[in-house]
Amino acid sequence: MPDPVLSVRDLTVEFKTEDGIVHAVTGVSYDVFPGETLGVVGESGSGKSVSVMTMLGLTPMPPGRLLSGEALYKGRDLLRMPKKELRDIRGGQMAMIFQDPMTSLNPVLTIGEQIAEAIQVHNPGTNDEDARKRVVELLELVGVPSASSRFDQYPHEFSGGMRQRAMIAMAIANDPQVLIADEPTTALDVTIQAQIIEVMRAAQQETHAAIILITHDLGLIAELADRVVVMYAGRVVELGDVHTIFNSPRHPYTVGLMNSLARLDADQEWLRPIPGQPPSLITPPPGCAFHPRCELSQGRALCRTDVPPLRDFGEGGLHRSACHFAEEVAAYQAATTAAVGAAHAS
Amino acid sequence: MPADDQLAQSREELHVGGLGSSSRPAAARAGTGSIVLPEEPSGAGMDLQLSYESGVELKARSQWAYARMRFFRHRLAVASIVVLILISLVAIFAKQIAPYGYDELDLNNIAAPPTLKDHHWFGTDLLGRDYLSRVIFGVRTSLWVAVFVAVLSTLIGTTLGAIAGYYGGTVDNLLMRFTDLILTLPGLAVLLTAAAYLGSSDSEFGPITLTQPVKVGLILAFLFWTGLARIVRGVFLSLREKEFVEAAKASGASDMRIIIRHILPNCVGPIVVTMTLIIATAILVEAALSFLGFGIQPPNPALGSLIADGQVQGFETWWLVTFPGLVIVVIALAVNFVGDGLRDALDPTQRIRA
Repeated sequence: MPDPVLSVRDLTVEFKTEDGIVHAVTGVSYDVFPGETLGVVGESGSGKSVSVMTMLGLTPMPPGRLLSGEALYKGRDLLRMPKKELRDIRGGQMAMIFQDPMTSLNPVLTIGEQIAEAIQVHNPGTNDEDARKRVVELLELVGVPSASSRFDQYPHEFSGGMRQRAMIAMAIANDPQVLIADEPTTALDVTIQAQIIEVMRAAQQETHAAIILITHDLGLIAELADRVVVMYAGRVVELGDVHTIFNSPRHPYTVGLMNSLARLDADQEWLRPIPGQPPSLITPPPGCAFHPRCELSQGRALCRTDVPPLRDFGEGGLHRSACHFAEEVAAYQAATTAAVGAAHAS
Repeated sequence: MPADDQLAQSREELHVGGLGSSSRPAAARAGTGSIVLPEEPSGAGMDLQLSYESGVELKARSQWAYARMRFFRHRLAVASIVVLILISLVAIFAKQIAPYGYDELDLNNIAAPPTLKDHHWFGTDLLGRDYLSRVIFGVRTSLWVAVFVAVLSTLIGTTLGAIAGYYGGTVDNLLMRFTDLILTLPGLAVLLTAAAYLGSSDSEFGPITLTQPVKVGLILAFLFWTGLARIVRGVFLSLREKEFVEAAKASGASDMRIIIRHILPNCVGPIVVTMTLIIATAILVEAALSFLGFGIQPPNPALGSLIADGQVQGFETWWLVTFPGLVIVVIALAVNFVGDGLRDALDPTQRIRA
């Protein structure tokens, strides 16, 4: 196993709001290895974006507050780095693709100017002509046709899919080691999503960057990710490679996610949603945050009192689950799947 | 200009229309009733095929092109800008254009009413100075002061507003309370006190010589930047939360770069409009100041002091008050109309009516 390019350890971030302190991210740890795609999955408000944005110094503080943790990029802690150094890394070795391409581009600058700027900020002294050449190359790489004439167009002259391509071009402009994609396809319609997935594949091939893919779209995870981190209420509840997570999950929440997914390859009549609502992050449930919605817990006291630690399953810490009764999950999964089947049969 | 636009527009429609009919499958055009799905675009979006691959020239217009078009539809603004350009040219080339020097005496024509004789079109004053020349030089002084005030107060207001709006919090609070403080000062009293204190001649601070117009300009600019600071702060407050600012941050841009390159261009509209309005106000206030004897001092002519000179004489020498007064009105009106036109043109919510 190569050394991780980025390792997050015990990251804890909270936000001060009028209603109380929001425990957005609590003790999150994971590694990102070179060239891999790590999917970070979870419901809205599960802390997926905050954990990543905090690493890049993009979480506004205040109201945000970093309580503990470190994010080691090539051995250096991003969270305690001088602002100037972090700025050099941002957009250079670690770049970001945003969710909504309609609002992430500056309306008064041309597409070309914005991508060229990303290059020139990190390579001072690049003259405009070289930058332009490189931008046109990048635009061609991400599949923007007539790149050289589109260079001089403004964002409002681009369609949503084309804008997201431009955003990707901007993100890979400086050959990043880590590419963070925050729900890159959520704002796009389904046909364009498929194209953008292809573009991201091409971008990864070109740059050999590790991608952190933040999404709640399990389809996208299945399509792109090598390994998956499942987050719930600000904590990592399960972590493993994509096949393990999809085929033999060890956490009832992951099972719930899979069951609520419409699949073409399974004979399902009904989808099985996870009952209840995501917990409040201001007053999270005691013990395991998932226990009020958990069908496996069945009111066992341990779930209500103790926060379950991440435990290893499989060798080398490559599959971890934070459930007191992770050993029972396989049977639970079989039962729920059977239940879905039975409902269909009757 | 409007005719050109219409032509371009109809040409555009023609092209699009042509494309629409020719690209539709023959069956659908013949009206056989069968539904033919359009071919699936491969890779590229539909709009690209429309504008590039099929060779239709849909001219892309930047927002500036739209703004220009909107501005040129505003007739009054266009007329006003022509008037302003002419007046500015006259002011700039005053020495070449004015028939006499501003302090040149013509003892044969003292207090002459407007006449074609000897080019005394605006008459002469009680010392026999050609009034047309004095008005021309007066415009030069007044416009200079007004532009100086506008530029300086725009710089101050934009800088403070941008910093306050971008950083927010304590910085914002401090700067905005300072702005409030300036706003609460009774304007005229401060102006008169400052003008009296700074004296009526050129003053020297070490190597820097402050001429009379510069001093008046400084005093006015000190009071005039507040409105703009508030406007710019407001725009910055809303824009700094935009995703493109976050995206710029994520791509490693510094605060300075984000402020200047990413946010500032987005508030050019309000800044330009406010700046023109400052020019109009500055001309009027400078005239008032000079009229009261605290602004530009004789023998240097300024529009306000010319009126002040003239009003001493009463209505018998009506031309001494009328001509500089008219010029002030024309300039102030024209600047306001241009400001109006710019506001309409730069407001992105205003779409062009075909």
